[in-house]
Amino acid sequence: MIVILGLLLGIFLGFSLNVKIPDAYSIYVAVAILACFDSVIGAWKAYLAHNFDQMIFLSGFFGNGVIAVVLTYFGDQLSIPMYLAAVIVFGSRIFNNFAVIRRMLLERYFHEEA
Amino acid sequence: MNMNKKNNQWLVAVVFLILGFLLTYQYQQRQEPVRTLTIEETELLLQEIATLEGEKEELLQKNRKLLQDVKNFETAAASSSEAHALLKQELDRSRLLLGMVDAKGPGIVMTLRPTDASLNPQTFNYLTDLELIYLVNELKFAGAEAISINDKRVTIQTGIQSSANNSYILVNDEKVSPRDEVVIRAVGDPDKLKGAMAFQGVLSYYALEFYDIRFHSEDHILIPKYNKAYRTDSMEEVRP
Repeated sequence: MIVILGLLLGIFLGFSLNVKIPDAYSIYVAVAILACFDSVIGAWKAYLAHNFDQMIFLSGFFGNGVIAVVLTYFGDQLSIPMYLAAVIVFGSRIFNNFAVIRRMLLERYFHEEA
Repeated sequence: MNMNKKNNQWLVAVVFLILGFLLTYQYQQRQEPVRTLTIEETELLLQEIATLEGEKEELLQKNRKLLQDVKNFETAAASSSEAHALLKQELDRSRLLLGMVDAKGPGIVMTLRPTDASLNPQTFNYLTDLELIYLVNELKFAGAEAISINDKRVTIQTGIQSSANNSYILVNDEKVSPRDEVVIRAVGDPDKLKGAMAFQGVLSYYALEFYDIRFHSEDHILIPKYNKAYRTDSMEEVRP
């Protein structure tokens, strides 16, 4: 409930606040979004597995975001597309976590059914 | 436990807030994509900026000098006489000849429109500097007194040059596209000019063959003035 409220508030802020991040940083925003997504999916998995820990969630959320952005920055300096590393790692983690979530949900559903 | 749960819910909400914000932000960015320039366009722009900056500096200096001249003239004009009127007349005539003022008069208007390239797939060519120089020369030979190409005055210091693999032709350092209609205006005796252009073979010089060329005489043709500064960096008057 409060999660959806936060999301809606964020969307509202995104539309209403006319913040301009320079175009040069758009790749950083994209990587940060991926890091966020990864953390959120990870949290969902942990929540379903009943081992959700807020500190792990928060440190992962901000830590991953920072590392992704720093990697992208260094990549920019060395003119290597390092953000691809972040995209691939976060992308595959999202898929993995989703696979686990799917299994857990299916198991729960069929378990209750049986 | 209850306290702790509430606390962590808020933190999760904050995280989602950030996520939502970033998502909408990125979405909005996608809505209004910034047109990215290709490398060539960037290079062209940089080149243009450099030229324009040089030109600006040149014009500023010119302007400073001209203002000084005006001041000098004003002091001189304090004692006006017939000699000054004659001087002014001579000055106006020089300006007209040099293209430093707009000129008008009878003459001809030529429009050159490229034909469909697929009509002559093997041989088709766009205009280059060659054809424009040739036409200007033909017009001058037929007695044209003032000529403009797409409203760019052709003066004694005008260079015509193809650039960037003939994607455009520079006249007075301004672009003329050979892929679009090119309009050449010339002030002079309309009959002589028309006669010269209609002469057998005159308009089949290289790429002119692939253009639809029309010309007609007009009584009031306006030729804009030369909008650049004349260069006199190297030459000076020889005084006996």
